[in-house]
Amino acid sequence: MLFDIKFFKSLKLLSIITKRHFRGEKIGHRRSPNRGASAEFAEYKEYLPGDDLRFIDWNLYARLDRLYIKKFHNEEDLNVSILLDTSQSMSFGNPTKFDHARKIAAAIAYIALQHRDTARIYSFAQGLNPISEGGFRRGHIHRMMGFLEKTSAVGRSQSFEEVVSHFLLKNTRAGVVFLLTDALFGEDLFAGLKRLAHRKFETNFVHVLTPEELNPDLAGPVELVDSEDQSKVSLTVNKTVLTLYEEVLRETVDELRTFLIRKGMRYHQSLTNTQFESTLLKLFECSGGAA
Amino acid sequence: MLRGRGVSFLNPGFLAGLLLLGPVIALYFLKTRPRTRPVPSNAIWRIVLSRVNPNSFLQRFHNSLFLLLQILSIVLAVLATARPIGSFWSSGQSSRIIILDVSASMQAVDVKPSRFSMAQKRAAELCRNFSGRVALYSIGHSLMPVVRYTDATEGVANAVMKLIPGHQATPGSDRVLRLLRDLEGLSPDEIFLLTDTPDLQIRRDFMPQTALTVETFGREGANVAIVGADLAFDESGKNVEVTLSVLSDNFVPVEISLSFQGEDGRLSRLQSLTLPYQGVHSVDLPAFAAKRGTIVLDAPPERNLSLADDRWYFSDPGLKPSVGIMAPSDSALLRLPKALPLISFTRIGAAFPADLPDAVLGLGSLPIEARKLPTCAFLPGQGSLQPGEILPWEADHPLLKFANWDAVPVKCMKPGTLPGTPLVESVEGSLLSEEVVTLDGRQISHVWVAMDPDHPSVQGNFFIPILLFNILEHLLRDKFPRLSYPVGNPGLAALWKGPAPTAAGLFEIPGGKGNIAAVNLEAPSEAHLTPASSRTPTSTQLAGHAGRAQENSPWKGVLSVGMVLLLAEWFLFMRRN
Repeated sequence: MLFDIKFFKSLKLLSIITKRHFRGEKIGHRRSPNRGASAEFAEYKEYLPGDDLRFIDWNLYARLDRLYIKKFHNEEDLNVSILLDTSQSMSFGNPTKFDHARKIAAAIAYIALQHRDTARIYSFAQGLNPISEGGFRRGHIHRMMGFLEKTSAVGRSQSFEEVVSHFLLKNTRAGVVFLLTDALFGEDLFAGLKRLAHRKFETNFVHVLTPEELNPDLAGPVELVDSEDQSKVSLTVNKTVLTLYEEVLRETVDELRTFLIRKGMRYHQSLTNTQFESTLLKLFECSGGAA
Repeated sequence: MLRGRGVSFLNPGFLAGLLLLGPVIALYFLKTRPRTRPVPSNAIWRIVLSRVNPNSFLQRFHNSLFLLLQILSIVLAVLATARPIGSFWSSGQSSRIIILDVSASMQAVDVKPSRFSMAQKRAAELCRNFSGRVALYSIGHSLMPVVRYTDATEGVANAVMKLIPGHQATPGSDRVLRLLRDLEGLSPDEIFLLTDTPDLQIRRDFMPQTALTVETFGREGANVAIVGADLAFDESGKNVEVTLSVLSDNFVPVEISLSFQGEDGRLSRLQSLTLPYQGVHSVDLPAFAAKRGTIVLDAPPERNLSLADDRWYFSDPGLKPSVGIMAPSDSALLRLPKALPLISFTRIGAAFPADLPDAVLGLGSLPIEARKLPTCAFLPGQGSLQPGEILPWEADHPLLKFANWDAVPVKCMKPGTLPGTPLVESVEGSLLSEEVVTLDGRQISHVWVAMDPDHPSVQGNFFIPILLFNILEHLLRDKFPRLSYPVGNPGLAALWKGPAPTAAGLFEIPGGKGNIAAVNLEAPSEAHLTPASSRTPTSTQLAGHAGRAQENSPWKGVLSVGMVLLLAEWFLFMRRN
């Protein structure tokens, strides 16, 4: 079991709040940029022939002697996409980065479904694979979690840009994207993120790392084997090398964070050894979620 | 000794141990195979590699804590073994042991006046020129203390001059080194061994805490000698069968011939052979008819610089020597006849017989007549003498003034040449004195031993019969029946044509036209009459000249730190793995 019931209940207090309004597919609880038939007044519009006479504000006509019709907000669902990295590099750490990430994914999906948003979870490594069909009812969470539990991190990272292209083909409607990954894609990562930004997706980048990646427990001569392409790097690790590693890692993370901020995206670093609940709360605080 | 500004090294040769660092460092880098570690991605590490080369020698070295600890340990251990000293911690009193070789070959006169005299002079000089504690030991069959540690160096020098060489053989190199090792407990700073034995194989690390100096006396040369003979008459009693031990002290093969010289002086060739290597060779001669005569060895003169040890005399033993025993009827001395059938024993009462025996053994003091014979008197160490069993010696020998032999002053005791003298100590007695007096032109041996062979505490002691046999052999060395003797043995009255020398050494044969004979050089090691040139002292030996005290030297501390570092490394290694 990824979660217990008690934790699920605590998630009910959270919701995803976006910076802007997205058009939805179904009736939901979120205000849409489209005008619709909800009870919430949006604006007045001068009457033109052909407009529905039912929405003419007669009181205003009495005062101004001009015809105006009342427009109302439309309430639609939010398209929440969760992209979960299932490359082999995610299987490192204790608990593994993948376990940590899919817990976050399940929690986000649960929160989305609680507010009648449409949630879809995709796994990506060698390509983009939808883990489950889009869910929009609360009951769909069980099906999604079942799929999540069956998924494992065994793939090999390929072009992230291709993953994003594939994702954009399937999702023509902009929405919120939660990208859960360890960001080991090289320059390809930035190209993919650019395309997401270009298509107006509100992206939340969750960088999943293990403490061992931040502070490697290495010393002396070692041969490092890449988990995905099995390439080897031989080196003698000492204090100088470790310092340099930390410096390079910090630079890499800073570069990613700067890029995301510039593109209007959000960056959140999540360590696998931190309390999951606090990680989630921080994530939603950072990404505009509200309790 | 290597001297720096404040610190010097007593064993600078050990600093060569620093060369160990080379192999240790090399082995370290050879042995440190990289451990394989899977990582999520090598991307970051590749960037690290592009910025710095962590595989460079310096980077690897920088990382190697274990290696650094090892290097430190080795450096400290090497420094410790090099024995650093400095004026600020060198303050105690140093000690020196002088060992003088009293073996028979020291009497050789190839250097003037003799090897022993030269060694004696050198030993006295070593005593007088030293300000610390000095001890004097003699080495013959074994190592014997003459004077224990004392500050009175002049007294030790005088004791040196009183020593006389015996007819014992210096033990082999291994045994000498073992005997020297026994002195380690005395913690001497220096040991000087004054000897003529050139073949001591001393390793550089032998007794590293002591500066050992070997000084040899004698000339360099080559020699071939008959050093032993096993002779027996065949069943007919007419022919003699001979197996000789022939020593070659040459590094090249030597051709020799062996001849028999009868009483008429004629030589008859027995055998010719080649001695292929340096060492003792066993040679079986064909049996030949003779009752007595000399076996003569002939070798090229350039390979045989000492001609005195090339002859071996043999003779039909003749009559048994007789020994008188003056002891109560239940004394252990009266059991000797059963043990020694080659000697005729007679019990002597209070009155001395008209027919004098060849030697006398007695409990307590002896009658005046006994002074005319070689004697051995066993004097009880404690308690009074028993009336009726102890016969009065009507004389004034200084030893007889003492009933408590532990109170006898050292000046009365003369270091003995008695074979097996340590046996006396092994039966808890002490050799009070051994002297040779000349009476009517005859040299007569007397031995006084502070021990009671009948005392319950020594009954059953394994060494008692051996001691008695050795004493008798010593007293009767002129008359003890033997089939063969090396030339020069005192038993060779016929050859010697007069009183033969009793002490070992090289002597000119009376009427022998300048020919010199070796006397009592009975051991192969003593046939090395011509030792090699003086030894070059090793660094260990040179250290002995530093004249220092070691009590406060820091080497033990340095070594301890090295050991602690090694332990720390082991601890870290165990924790890490």
